[in-house]
This record gives sequence, C-alpha cells and structure tokens, in this order.
Amino acid sequence: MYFPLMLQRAGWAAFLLGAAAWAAEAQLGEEIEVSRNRVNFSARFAFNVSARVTSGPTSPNVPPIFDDGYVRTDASGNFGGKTWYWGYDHKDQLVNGNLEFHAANSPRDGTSEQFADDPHAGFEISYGRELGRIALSKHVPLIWGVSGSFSSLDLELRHEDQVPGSVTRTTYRYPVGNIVVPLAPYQGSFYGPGPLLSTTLGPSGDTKVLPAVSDLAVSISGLVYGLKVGPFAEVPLSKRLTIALGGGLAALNSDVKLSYTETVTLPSDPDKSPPPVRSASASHGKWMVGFYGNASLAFALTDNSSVFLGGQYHHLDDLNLRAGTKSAVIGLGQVLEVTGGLRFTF
Amino acid sequence: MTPARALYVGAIATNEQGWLQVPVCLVAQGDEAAISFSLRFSTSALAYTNYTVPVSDTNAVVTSLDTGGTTNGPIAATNLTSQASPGQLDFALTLPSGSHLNAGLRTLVSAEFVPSTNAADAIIAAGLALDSPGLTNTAGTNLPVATAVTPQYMSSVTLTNLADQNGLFMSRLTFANPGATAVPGAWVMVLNLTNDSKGQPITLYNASGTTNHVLLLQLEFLGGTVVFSVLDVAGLVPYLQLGPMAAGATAELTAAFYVSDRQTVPTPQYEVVVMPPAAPVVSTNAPVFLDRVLFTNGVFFVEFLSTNAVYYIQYTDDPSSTNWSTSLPPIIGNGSRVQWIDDGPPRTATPPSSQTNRFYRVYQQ
Repeated sequence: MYFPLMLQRAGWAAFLLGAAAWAAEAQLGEEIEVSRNRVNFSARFAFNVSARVTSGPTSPNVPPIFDDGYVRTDASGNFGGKTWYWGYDHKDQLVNGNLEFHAANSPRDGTSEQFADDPHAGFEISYGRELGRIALSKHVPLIWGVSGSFSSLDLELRHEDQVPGSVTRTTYRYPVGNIVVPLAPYQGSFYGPGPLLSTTLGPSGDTKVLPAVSDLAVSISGLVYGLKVGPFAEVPLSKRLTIALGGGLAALNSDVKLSYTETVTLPSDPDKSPPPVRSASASHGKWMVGFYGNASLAFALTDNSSVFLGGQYHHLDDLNLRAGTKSAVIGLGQVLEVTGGLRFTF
Repeated sequence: MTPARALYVGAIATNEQGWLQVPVCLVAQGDEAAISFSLRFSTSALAYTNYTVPVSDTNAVVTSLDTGGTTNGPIAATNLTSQASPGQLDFALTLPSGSHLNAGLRTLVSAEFVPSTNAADAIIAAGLALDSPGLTNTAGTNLPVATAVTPQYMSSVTLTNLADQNGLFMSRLTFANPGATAVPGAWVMVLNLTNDSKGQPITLYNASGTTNHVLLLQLEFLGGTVVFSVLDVAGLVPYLQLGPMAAGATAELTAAFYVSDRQTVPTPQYEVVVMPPAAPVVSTNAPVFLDRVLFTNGVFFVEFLSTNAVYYIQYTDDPSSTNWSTSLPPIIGNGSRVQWIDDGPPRTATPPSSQTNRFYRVYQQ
C-alpha cells in the first residue's frame, strides 16, 4: 500500500517524464545495453519529520533544595541542628529575621507542542545486482534485480516558544538567629566553615498561585542510519535515460538526543525569586524496522556513469525520547526524501 | 636549616607550691664548651630560692647538660655565683676539657622563684633578661649567641560570640612578655591538634603559616622532681603571629579551630618562640571591590566576591597613609562570597573596637 503512494508523491513526475522520453527513443529502434552491477552514491534531504514534545508534571523542589537556595546537611551531620552548607540567591529572601526559600512548578506542566524543522540531510551508498530481464517490447527490456544500501540521516529539530500560565509556589522560612547573613548571592560548602543556619523550619510556609511565563528551548539531534534491502526494476527509456523503481525492508538505528532548557519568570513576583532554569538532556538508541520505496530517473554521462534524481519514502516506527520532565515523539512514519547523486555501472 | 645559636628564657612553669620555674635554654650548634650568662629579674616580683640542673632525664635524645658532652661525662663545674647583686644570678657552666655540647635544644638550668603576688602577675612583672652571655668552644674562642626572653602563654578563654557566625571553635589567648625589654614579635606554635570524631584533622583555621617544629621540650614538676618530656618531633605545625610586645606587656590573639564535626573540643598546646614579624605584602594590583564593610558587636565584617585566588586584606587607621598593615594569613577564595571577620589579633594588630576608625582594602594576589 505504500509503494503506490511513493509513486504518486515522489516519482510521478519523473515517471511521466521518462515515459515520454521512452516513447520517443523507442521509436528510434536503438539497442539498449545495460550492465549487471550498479553502485549509487547519493545525497538525501528528508522532509516531513516532525516532533511532539509533552511536558510532564514538574515536581517542585522540596527542602533542603529550593528554587533559590539550599539548606543541606553539612560535614558535621548538622550537629546542633545547624548547618554551614546553605546558600541563597537574592537579597530579598531575608525577611524579618528569616531566610525565605521558594519552590514552584512549571506553567507548562501537562501541555504539548508539535513542530517540524525540515529538511534533514544525509547520504546513501547502494549496490544493485541485475538478476534478469523481461522484454517489454522489441527494443525495451525491464531489468530487475536486488539492491542493498547503507544510509545515514542527520536529524536536527529545534524549537523555542513561550507559554503564559501560572505556577504554585511554596515559601519555606528558616530563622537566621544572631548571625550576620552574608550578602547575596552566598553559597556555603559541605565542609565549611561558615555562618551556621538553623535547619529547623520556621513559621510554616505559605502556598501561592502566581502568574508565570515559561520559555522553552528544545533540541532534538542525532543520527538515523542503517541498511535497506529490496528488489529494484529499471526501464531504459533511451540510450541515456533510465527510470528505476525499488522498495523493500529498512532496518535503521536511531541515536538521538533530546535536550531542553526551560526558564520560568514570575512577572508579579515581588521578591524576584523565580524557579531556577530547568534543563535536562538524554540520548536514546533504538533499532527500527520498516519499509521504503524509491523512484529515480538517471541520465547517462558515459557508458558506465550517470547522474540521477529521485525520491524516497520511509515508513518507520515513531521514535520516543524522554529527558527530565519532557517526552518527545519523533514522527518517522511518513518521511519523504529527495535524493540525487552518481551511478556507476559495470 | 640549622637554627642559630640562641640563649633564651623558655616557657615558665609553676610548681605545686605556686613557685615559678624559669628555664634557661640553649640552641646549641655542637661546639660549645663553656657557657656563662647572667639572669636578671625584678626583685619586686620574684624572690630567688634555688636552681636545678636537669639530672634525672633518661631520654638520650633530650640529653641534659650533664650528659650532653661528647665524653658523656659530668659537667666539671656548674657554678652559681649566688646573686652577684640583687636581682641577678650569674651562671658559669664548663664541660670537661676537650668536651663540647651536642647540637640541639637543651635546657641549661632552671631557676626557681617565689612570686611576690600571684604567679600570673609575677610573670608579667618579672623583668627577666639574659645579660653578658659568654660562650667559647674547646679552643677558647668566643662564639656569637643571640639572647631572648620568650613571651609566655598565660591563659585561654573559649569564645562563643562568633561561634554561629563562622562555625569555628574560638579561643582568646593571652600572652605576656616577662622580659625587661620589648620583643619584636613571636610565633605561637599550636600543637596537639588531634582528629575529630569523624577522623578528620582539627586545623588551626586562622594560622599565620606553618613552620618546621624541630624539637619541643616540656618542663614539668612531678613529685618534686623536674623532668623533661618530648611534646612533638620534627614536622610542620601551624603558628599564629604575635605582634611586638613591650616589656611587661600583655597581648591577646584569637585562635580559630576548624572541627568538621563541630563537637570535638580542641585541646591544643602552645609554644612561643621569638620571631620578628613577617615582611609586609606589597601588591600592585587594583584593590578588589568590597560589597560590604559592616561593624557590629565589636567586630568588622568585610565581604567581597571571590574567585579561586589568594586575597590579602590590608587595613589602616589612616587611609591617607601609605603604610597599610597586611592581615595574615591571606584568604583563599572559593568562587563565592567571602565573609572575613576582623576581631583583632592575630588577624589585625588590635581589636577594631579599640580604634576610632579602621579602613580596609583587599588585593588579589
């Protein structure tokens, strides 16, 4: 069911062009010579690769890690209920003898967006072997055989957008006692020494819903490479023009990385303590098995070499990626490619 | 490096009666055959009673005077010419003919005094001096020798006012100069820093530096017998810089101990040696921008953003002066904010609360 689709989309124009030339050439009554082996070197440009990125729920930070600081266990094990392993980001976090720390989720939680970023470049090397000929007419044979190829495709999809919404933010307070709090930003270390902060939470934190804006930058990049095997058929349209069709099984491996950076700003936040920039990155590898079909029109430069232009269609499984709270589905099910290159016969 | 020949009054001990044991020590170079000197003291503070020469020591390393000669024989004459005059003891020590001392630190004699008041006040007012030193080798040639009266470690008080501010164990140490003359400065070597309960070493956080500790002797009075014991052997020990001290003056400095578990109480021991102050640090870099200089609770807080570099803090009471003092040790930045606290010696010469104003600047090395 996919092969005719390929013909319609990728090779239809070439087929018509070739048929016209074939008719003209056939009238010349020339003898067609076809070599048994052919090697193709081609460049590929893929279209119709899309991705859908879904934002899962963002778990807000919880003590001792906060959006704007930390109150962690130090080398002493927080002896005496105090630690020197703490830090804070903004001067406004010091309020009424307490250091306030905050934790919020993301306004993008539960949303998703789809995007495409065509074309994607690659290459392919193939070898074909003629196995037989069928006479279509007195002067025109149909040459058939089997070909195998190695192909590689660079995937590169980038997406940036901004989403308004709201976040739920909790405030935690720690009393500073009698210390002179270092100016912000301050980062204490595990081994210290430094000012000691109580590890006992002060007055219970409050929770607010605040308007927020999320800026997201997503990058999906990697390689899809592998082998294709299947039959092919060629019809010489003239001494110089040949039309070729093929199809078969494709076994491709993906090595793709999903990474993102999300920045949340709180326009109405009075103490300017937004959640930290959240980012994650993860690579995935997966073998995919599917089908392909192609069509091309070759123009002979010499008796043993020609240039060709054509199209290719892939049908593969979608590729699922996950990094941090984001998941992505890369649509490889209906990829169209434009191919072009050199063909050598011998 | 071989220490220079020096004759000095060492750490004064107090016996069970409250009497003072004043040791006179020699850093011998190994060729001394005869030694003489006068020990002066203030008769209003001290009353001389007796002297002892170490005789009971059985440790071959800490050899005492009577076994220190190359012949291992007794000293031919250990002569105290009584009190040549009020407040002066003249000693003459002679080894057998052809003998000389081995190189090293040894206590020559320990003079015993009854304090006129309490021991601490008597030490401060002792007015000790070593005069007319005369050292010769086996050929009778005079040998050069330096003399000094070592400032005395008097007491320590645990401080709690900054415990939460810096997470350190703080001790305020008091020293006195029992000498009749000023000393240019001293190093207070801090010994017996053990590990904490987590096995991490306790360190002197505000050490002015480290120095090679060659040999230390402790004079003890046990059951009426003076004995000597080794406190430490060769190795690097941290020290605090004590500034110049006038005769009969006292001085304080703060020792800050880093203890990773914050619960093992340090039990340091202190030993003082006379040492001129370090040369001032001169920098041609532009000063680092200071984010805050805050005076509260009698101390100054100086804050600045650091990189992983070395910073020197300088201070003065007169910003128009070109003679800024440098606080030692330097600060090693950590890439974050540094909160440096001036609570007086040894970081600065005097407590900031004793000044009408104080100015700071910070240089990156």
